[in-house]
Amino acid sequence: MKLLISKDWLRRKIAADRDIDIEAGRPLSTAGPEPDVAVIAEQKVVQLRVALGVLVRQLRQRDRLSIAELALRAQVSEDEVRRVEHDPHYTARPRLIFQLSHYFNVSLANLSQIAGATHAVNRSLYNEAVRYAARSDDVSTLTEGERRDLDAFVAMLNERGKA
Amino acid sequence: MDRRQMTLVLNNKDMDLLDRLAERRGMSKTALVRQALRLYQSVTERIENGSKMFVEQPATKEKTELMVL
Amino acid sequence: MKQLVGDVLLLNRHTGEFEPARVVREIDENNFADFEQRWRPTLEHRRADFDNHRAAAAGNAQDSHWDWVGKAKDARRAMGQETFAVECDGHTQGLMLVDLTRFARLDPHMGRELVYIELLASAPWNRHRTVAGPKYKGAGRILIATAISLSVDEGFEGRIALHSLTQAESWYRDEAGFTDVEFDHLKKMRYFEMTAAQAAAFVENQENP
Repeated sequence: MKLLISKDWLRRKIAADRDIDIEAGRPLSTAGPEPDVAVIAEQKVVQLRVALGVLVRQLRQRDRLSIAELALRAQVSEDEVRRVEHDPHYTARPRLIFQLSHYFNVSLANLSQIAGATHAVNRSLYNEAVRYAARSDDVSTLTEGERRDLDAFVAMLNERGKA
Repeated sequence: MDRRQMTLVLNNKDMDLLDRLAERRGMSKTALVRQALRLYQSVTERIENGSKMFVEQPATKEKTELMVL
Repeated sequence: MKQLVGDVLLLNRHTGEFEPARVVREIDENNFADFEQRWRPTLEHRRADFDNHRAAAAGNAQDSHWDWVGKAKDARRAMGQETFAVECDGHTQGLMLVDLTRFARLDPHMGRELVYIELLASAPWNRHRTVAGPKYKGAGRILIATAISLSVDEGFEGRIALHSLTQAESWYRDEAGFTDVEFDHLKKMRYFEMTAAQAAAFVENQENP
């Protein structure tokens, strides 16, 4: 093939061009092999929030608190706690996540990811959260097995938080 | 680029079609055949990857599966 | 196999002088190595500068990874895809990946064959957004001209198309002379096309008006 431009054309045009970055197509800044982090799609957010709901409910049950009692101690609204526990389409407000993270002593960064509050989520965190949620049964008290899973999940969240 | 030559034998009907198609697309017959090969390779790969190809009717949005290899 | 397409010039902003460069077709292991060893570290470093993912996403609307390296390698055995690079000073200064199996959307030439630019990128050290004193100017313009040249060579009469990154939109529309077709909601980027006439005007080709 023949390149249809001359050096003379280049001298004139490049000098005259406005000095901006000329690019096209998807940005290369994020190109590369599949990373750990992925921008999360809507369905995945819902999956994560199911895990969030299970986590909050189980932590509450571990501490033998009713929803009202938790709301009081964590200084959040009862209604919000109920929605987080039961409605994966509910978008928890940042303050709620912060308060719960603080009250239960769970990594804020990772709790935020599970709440679907971040734009991207760590892939293995996502997988762990989904697995954790799948293992739980919706009962009013924690079984021993569930207690172990809960402790392991919380430990994982806090260990990751240190990285 | 290294080049090789091939003789393509077509019956009259197909040869006429090739002529008309090249004219209609504003390309030489060689360019047209090359483009046809590109598309065929692309389709082959997609189908081998498990994708399906459909044609959509503009008015009804009805889809017809295009080809299965 | 890598081939030389033509000899060109890039403007070294630091010296104010034009330097000899070349356009090559079918990028090879050297170009991939350049990308991995020289482009990527700077790009990764910049991404880490963003406070959080939301800011990174704001910087680039489509903040998702894509395996362009895989696609570029596939292009070696695909008739429908081609890769090009601008090389200067012993390194890859610009990269382009094109697709020849797409068709025009714009009315005067709807359905006609064109060269679609899937990727056009300048080395991070040449970009304002990435470094304080970007080095070479012109790789983008050279690659656009290359796409047009390929389009002519393939019988597509110079027609090309691309999706633009936000910051470059006005250059494509006002300086290069593309037609702003539409905002593509799927890709979340503006889609531009060049007719044969616009392409001829871009390269100032008096032979094929």
